[in-house]
Amino acid sequence: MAVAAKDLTKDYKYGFNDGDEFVYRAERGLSAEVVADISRRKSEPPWMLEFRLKALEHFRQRPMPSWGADLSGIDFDDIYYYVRPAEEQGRTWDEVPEGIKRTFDRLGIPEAERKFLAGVSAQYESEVVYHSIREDLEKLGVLFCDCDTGLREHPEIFRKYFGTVIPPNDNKFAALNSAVWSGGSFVYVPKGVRVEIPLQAYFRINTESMGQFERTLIIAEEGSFVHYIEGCTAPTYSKDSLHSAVVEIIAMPNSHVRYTTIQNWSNNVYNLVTKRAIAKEHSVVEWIDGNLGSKVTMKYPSIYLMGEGAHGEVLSVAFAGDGQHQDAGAKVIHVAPNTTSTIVSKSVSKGTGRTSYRGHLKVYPKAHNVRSSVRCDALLLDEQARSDTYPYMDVEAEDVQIGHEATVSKVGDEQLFYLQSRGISEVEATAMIVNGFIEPFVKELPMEYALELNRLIALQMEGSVG
Amino acid sequence: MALPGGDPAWLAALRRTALAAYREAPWPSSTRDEDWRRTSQIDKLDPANFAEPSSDQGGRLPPYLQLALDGPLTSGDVSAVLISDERGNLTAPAPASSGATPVAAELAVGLAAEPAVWQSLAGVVAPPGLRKWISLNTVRSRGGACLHVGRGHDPAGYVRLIHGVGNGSIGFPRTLIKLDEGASLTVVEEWVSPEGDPGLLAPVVEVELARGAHLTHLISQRCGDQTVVQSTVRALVGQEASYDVRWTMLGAAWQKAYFEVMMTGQGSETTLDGLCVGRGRQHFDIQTLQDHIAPGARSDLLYRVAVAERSRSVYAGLIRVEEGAQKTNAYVQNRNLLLSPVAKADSNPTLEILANDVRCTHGSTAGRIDDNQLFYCESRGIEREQARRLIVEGFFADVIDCFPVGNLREATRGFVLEGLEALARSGALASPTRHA
Repeated sequence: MAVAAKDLTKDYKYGFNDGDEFVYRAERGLSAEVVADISRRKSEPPWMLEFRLKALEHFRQRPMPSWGADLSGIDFDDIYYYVRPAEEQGRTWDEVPEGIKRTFDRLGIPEAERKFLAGVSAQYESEVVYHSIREDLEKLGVLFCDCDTGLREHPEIFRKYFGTVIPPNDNKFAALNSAVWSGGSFVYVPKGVRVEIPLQAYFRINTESMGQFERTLIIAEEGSFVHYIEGCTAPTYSKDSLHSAVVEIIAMPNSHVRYTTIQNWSNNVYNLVTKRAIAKEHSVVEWIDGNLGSKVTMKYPSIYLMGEGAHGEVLSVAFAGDGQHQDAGAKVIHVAPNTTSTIVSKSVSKGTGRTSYRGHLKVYPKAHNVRSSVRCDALLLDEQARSDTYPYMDVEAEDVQIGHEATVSKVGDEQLFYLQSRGISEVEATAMIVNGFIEPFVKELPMEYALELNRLIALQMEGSVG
Repeated sequence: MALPGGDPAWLAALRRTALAAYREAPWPSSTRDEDWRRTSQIDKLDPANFAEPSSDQGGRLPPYLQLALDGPLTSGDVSAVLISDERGNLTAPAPASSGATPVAAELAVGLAAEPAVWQSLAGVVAPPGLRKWISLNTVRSRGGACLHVGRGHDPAGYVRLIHGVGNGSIGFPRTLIKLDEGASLTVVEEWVSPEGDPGLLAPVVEVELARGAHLTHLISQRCGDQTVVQSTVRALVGQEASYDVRWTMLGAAWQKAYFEVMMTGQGSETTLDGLCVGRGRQHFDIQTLQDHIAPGARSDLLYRVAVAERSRSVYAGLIRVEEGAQKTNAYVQNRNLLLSPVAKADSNPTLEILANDVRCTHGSTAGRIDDNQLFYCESRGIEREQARRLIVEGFFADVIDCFPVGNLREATRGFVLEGLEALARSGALASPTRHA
């Protein structure tokens, strides 16, 4: 390890302390140099550099997945793997595409927040809010910072759990993330602590949090509770075409972790995310996952029920407009006995959009008394829209109750007629029906997110987003 | 390989195409091919593992075929019986003629009599190259049946087809069924082999139903415990035509079966009902396709599986609605009953929907015998083993009750009960379900 790091150091020609120099030098594409460069800029310990370089090897060796969405449009050599702060600052509000600005206006997001969401502002005002939340948490011993800070300031905890749920060789895109990760959240909740307000990545501010390869690590110690909310409820302006995050959750015995995210990427983004949780004895893990926007999304939040009596829930909604493919789903692996799980997936395809539910439910032989129910509903709004359902179920235990149901249908003519006969336009009526369709999902969201999601759906219905 | 009396030129050409396709296609792999992901014993299908069929077609029927012939599916309603094994068609008792139009003919006889009809169907509905085993059947089939019902005809009774394999060999029966406009037919197919015989039975069935035609098609697989079955049934269902398929899978060491229905005509209907009882180390891998090409068609599939001992069931069923196939109504239900802690059931019903005005639904369940039902029976003095057996019978009853044609329904029920009897004898139904 030390040898590799030293060799790279020797060949490293540019002073990483020189911001300007760095900005000038940055190149497209992925190489050991770029990876080492990222690691050096962050002053990471050697083990992390080694981790990154190994991951890079895995990434290179792995073939592109042959299943799922069409990824042929990705050119790995035409991507900036590290968004340089200087460039980030150089962007102005004027550079933000008109469509996205209009969306911000219509969503009613405050000016400062808009600029933050667009990645053009230093978010001065938000800083205050962030600090007040952080002080409360600090008193409880909760750690909530970006992942880079986590590595720097809490190395013992960080190293113990980092990459243990999703090893770098898990899949091609997890390997890519492991090689070039930057930003994301690090959450540690001590034993018995209940964090009553949701932790929102919204307030955790630094330029790197907008990175395309963020890494999130959440550890909930015994008997703790935490609700983490991530993502933007407005389109993220992104120059880059690839977003590949890794999220790892470790739920210790009797803990409860809820992870909520609503992602609305601009329509040129490949969103390829690996999310996985390990649930120990009698713990509860919930993924609340909303996918709007992006060109292609492949995301299957998974839960490994490792401890007896653990419970997992995945509640997801996907909306695919023209030219979009949302290949989303869920995986629940019942390893321990007396474990239970619920998956509810709602998807809507509009125009030439395509949604796919891809699930995997596995029950290991020793996992007796397992109960699981999977429900997938798809709504098709237009003739060219497409919906697929691929729910794999492997049951290797006898003492189980497994149920799966899926339906695909269109907006009911009678429902439309009813609303239209009361003077509501067809577009509005359809939006109302769609909102009703995804209601089981929306009701799990905090109020402000629920409102914004409803507005976003309404915008999508008009085809005016992105 | 050629038909007795030689192949017509078009068939020889088809066989050459199929041979090229067979050679070109890579050997399937359980890591590379989604189809084979859960059935890994592909190498056992290597044709080199099986004995060449003997060329002697004379003499008496082998005992297992005679047994099938005299079995419960025999009845006064049978209009024709055609029997084949690895050697080709075998001499069958003269069928009681149902009228002037000959409906059923041995493969070679049928192909010679109506070349124009069969040339447009054989290798068209199930083209060589679609799968390696379709190609190989096309290259090597020597026996089977040609069933053609003319316009508006509805021959009385039903046609029996018995396809077997023995002597550790491979049987490639080919069945071609064509129903002209408004015609009807009931066909009962039996796939059989002797106990302990390590043969391979690889049937291909091609069906084409013209406008308003109606085919009822029963398939009863009762092969011996060492036999491997690799089958394809593929059908084109025309406008307002209807196709009823009922399969019962009970025998064989393992089986990979494809049922593929192309709804090519507006307003067509298909019903696929299947059941399967697995025991010992049996492995059943059933793959179904309901391909809705034309609008306004309906397809329903109901597949029930009970797996006991160390047996395993794999099910993958795709409902595909092509662009423009509006007003499609499609349904899949797969229910799995796990009778032992080490039995396995994989279920993967999938949907690919490219039209919007549709109603497509699937459901899948897996579970063991309901404790409440057991308790109910036991509280009424029924012993546990007997109670379990009754509940399994009940699990299959609603599929069997829907079987068309009374005596076929009861015969099928008999086969299933026999299977359960065998399970009971081996103690599989008495096995404790409680874990520590």
